[in-house]
Amino acid sequence: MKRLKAARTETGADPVQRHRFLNRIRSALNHPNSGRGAPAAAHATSKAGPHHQGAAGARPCGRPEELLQRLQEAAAELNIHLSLHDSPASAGRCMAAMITRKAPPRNGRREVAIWRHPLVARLELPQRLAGAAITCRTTAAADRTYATRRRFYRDLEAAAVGVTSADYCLADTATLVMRSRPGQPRSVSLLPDIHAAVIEAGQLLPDFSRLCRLLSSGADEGKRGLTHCMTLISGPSKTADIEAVMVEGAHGPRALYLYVILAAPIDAPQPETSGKPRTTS
Amino acid sequence: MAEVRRRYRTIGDPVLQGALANLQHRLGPAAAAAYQALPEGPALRQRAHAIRAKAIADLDVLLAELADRITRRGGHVFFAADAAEAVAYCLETARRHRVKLAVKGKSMVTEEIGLNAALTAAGIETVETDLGEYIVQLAGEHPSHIIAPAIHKTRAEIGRLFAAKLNIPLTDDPPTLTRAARRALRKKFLTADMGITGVNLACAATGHIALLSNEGNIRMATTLPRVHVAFMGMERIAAQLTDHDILLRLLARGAAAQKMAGYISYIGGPRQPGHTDGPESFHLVIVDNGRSRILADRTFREILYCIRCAACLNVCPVYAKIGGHAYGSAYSGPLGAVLTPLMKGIRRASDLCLGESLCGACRAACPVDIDIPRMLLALRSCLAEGDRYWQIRPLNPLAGRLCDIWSWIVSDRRRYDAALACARFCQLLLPRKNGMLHRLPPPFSGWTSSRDLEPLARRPFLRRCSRQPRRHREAPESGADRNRS
Amino acid sequence: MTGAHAKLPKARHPVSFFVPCLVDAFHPGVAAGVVTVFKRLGIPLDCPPGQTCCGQPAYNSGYRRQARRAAQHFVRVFENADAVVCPSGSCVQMVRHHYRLLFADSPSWLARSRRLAERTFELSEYLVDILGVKALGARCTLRLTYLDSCHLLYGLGISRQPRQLIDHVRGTVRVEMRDSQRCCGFGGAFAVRYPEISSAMLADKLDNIAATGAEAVVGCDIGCLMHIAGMARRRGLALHVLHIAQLLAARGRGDLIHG
Repeated sequence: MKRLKAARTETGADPVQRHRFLNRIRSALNHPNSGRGAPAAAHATSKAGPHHQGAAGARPCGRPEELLQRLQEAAAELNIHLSLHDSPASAGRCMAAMITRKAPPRNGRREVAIWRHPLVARLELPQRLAGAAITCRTTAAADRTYATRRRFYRDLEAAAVGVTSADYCLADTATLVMRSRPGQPRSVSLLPDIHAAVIEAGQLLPDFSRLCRLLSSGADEGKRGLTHCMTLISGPSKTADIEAVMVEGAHGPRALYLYVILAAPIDAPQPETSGKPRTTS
Repeated sequence: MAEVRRRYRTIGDPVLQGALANLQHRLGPAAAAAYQALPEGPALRQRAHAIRAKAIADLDVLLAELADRITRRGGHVFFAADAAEAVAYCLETARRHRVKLAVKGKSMVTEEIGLNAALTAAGIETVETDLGEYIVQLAGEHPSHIIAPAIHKTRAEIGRLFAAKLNIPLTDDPPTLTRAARRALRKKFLTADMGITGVNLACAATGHIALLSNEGNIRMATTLPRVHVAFMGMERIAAQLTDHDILLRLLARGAAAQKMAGYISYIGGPRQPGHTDGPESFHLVIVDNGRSRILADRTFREILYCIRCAACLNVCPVYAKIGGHAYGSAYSGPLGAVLTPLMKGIRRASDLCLGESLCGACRAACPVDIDIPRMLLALRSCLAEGDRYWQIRPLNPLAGRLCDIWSWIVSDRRRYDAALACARFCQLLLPRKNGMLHRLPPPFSGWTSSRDLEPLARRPFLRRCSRQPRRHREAPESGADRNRS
Repeated sequence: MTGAHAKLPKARHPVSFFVPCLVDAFHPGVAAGVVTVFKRLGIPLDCPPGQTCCGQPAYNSGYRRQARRAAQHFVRVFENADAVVCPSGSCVQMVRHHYRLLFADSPSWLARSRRLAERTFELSEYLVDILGVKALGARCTLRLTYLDSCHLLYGLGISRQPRQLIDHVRGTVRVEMRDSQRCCGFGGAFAVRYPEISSAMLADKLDNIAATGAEAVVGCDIGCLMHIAGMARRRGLALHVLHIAQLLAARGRGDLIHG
């Protein structure tokens, strides 16, 4: 009996406990304690009302140039190093130069961690950085045990820069939106000192409202949903906990570089297909 | 609570007052401007209020939906009736997974249930990782502000603390101190077995919890360790993602006048096959701990709409003078002044109910437009008149009797005039200085501790009205108020 | 008389004057100022002699039963008025926002108090928003600063109207103080029960007033003004504390400031 109870606790699915908990809420919602002055905006306890679309839905999406303009303003506010490029090659050159300039050696080696992602692959970072004796580690899409995960994080710690892409970028707040996929660990955008991200202009959305509507629509994106983990990143990690002095680089990256590729070539892969792990190295 | 009573009546030291004044000047007006700059305008706060009201009215349905979705992804959901159950579940989970080190993200509800002390007592090293919380933990104290937990500490104090505890050279440079904490905590993140966080807001329709931070510590705690336990007060849920859009944008503006929190993590379960990051074991603990009792009372249900942004702390003039510790619970400021009495006892926390000037700045600052002054008044009437539901007797029956007499007097002008005449006679006995009353007897002596009081005028204005023979209701113009008795 | 007055229709229904109990008992001069202002506007002012108190002191301490009794008296006295004007934001907030909570359980009193609440106005609100008057022909050479009272500002959303009225008083120079929207720490019984917190808030307010270099502080709520005057006098400061009605009635500096 005790073991059964313990097992239930582990699964957290003790139906009795859950039932009791929710019943307490139900009876509270129907409690006759309304004799005293209720707030003016008293509401009915109707269940699961219609999901309404907000006024935000009426806002225009914005043309690409407009979105870029908004992105530039937001990036400047957040100290994001934003650069616009005509081609992946140009972005790759620029990023390689930044890495060569900024990446300090760790334990005598210079390393960069990069996502297994088609757009990132087209930056050709390994070739570009070989001359500067900087090693690129591409993340593999392997099912990991806890022990191999620890090793992965230890290696990632040695990388000075983490290179990722993103699912979307919200122009108004310069927010990168990343959903969890094999080969694209969220730790790459977290553990290294510098986070460099590359996106195509077509991945720009106007704002958070648009993202929320997109993800809750019935269309493809709505069905795919948020996955089991979705991360939104707006600028480098920061804190103001000591006398309200703003310091960048609290626990995560101290700098964020964002490379936007404006004209997507015809053979550019859709961001959705990037989710499927491929073997490129 | 006797300690609270003393502290609540005492203002903080000048350093604390200075720090809080700076914080309020930086964040209070900035949040107001941020609401103004919303594309939908500041009226979005009222829409957010309606969204919260609806979510609370549907709470049972939404929680069941959330739990089902998380369970389907392989997560565990535990419904804890009180603090003891929530703590016991966490300890049991830690024991099962042989946890030795836990890293924590900032969480008000774990402060409320006293989780840290229980974990430490069970031999589990528990490290706060939000920089402010870390400072406070190293100093052996408790946070004094929801989003700026170490606001009561100066950089010099923090420098000395870090020099002693982290073995670094003495400095008071915030960037250097931040880097020192980063180095120390990075080691903890990489070796921790368990990550413990709160929940800013869950989403029932998608089955996720949303966690906000600027430092990245919460991302660390939810990405690296092999177990993640998230605690949420049962009211912290919204029906759908489009509600999150409105609430999270307002939350970031109310908390720090930001357009968007630096990091938002939506977590819906443990690591999936083929993925690198995330815990093998994910647990969501939904905590009641007195909330359903509040839920049942329409008068106070509105406090459950709170999304813990601390905007009210950033404008409250009383909080600015006494600081967060004076409130004697995890929840300080105007929010705490309503929530703490309801959770810990209205009579025990009577100072929290009575010790506000009811200025209303908190309501104007609240991103979800919670009428905190209304609830403070309702708490006061529980204290004054007693309340069956909250099982309290009147705090001061004698004051109630005196108030009865007052109401008898004011419901008739002749009685009122007689009472004023009587008061005017009594004030002849009081000492004066420069024409002002200098010292009043108890219970009014508080006023004259630092202020004089003008004496009652020789004749009330309305006496002059009624003495006019013919058009007696026409108000007289002449006579300044300089003719004092 | 300025041009604004000429536009005013002369014959009007009388306005009922709701005299706040603190004004009645401590500062009859403020009420006299209101009378002067309405006389100049040519609007008859009716002053119901039976009025006492709106009930706020009891209500703010949680004594709703007793507050209700005072409120019922108030409603009986004023319910036949066309418009009620009161030189206090705090009292108007009580009538406009709190009566409906106080009478939530009594439909008939709720209806009566609602009707009254719709017709009750704060002085500066009535002058600027209802009458559309800003210039009242007042004169006073004075450097002053305006104090936002909390119930006026947060409760009724009034901050523009008093400033406009002050700016139309000939000879005045108005300077904004820092943190004008911050509470002075009065709060009725709060000032007596928590003197240390209240005094600390008040001291900040006096510092902010002093920093403007103003000779006078002008406000719309006598409670806040008495609070400020109380500490100013205790500290021996040469600060004049004035209600806006006094300023609007003034025909020269001598009407307000002596010695």
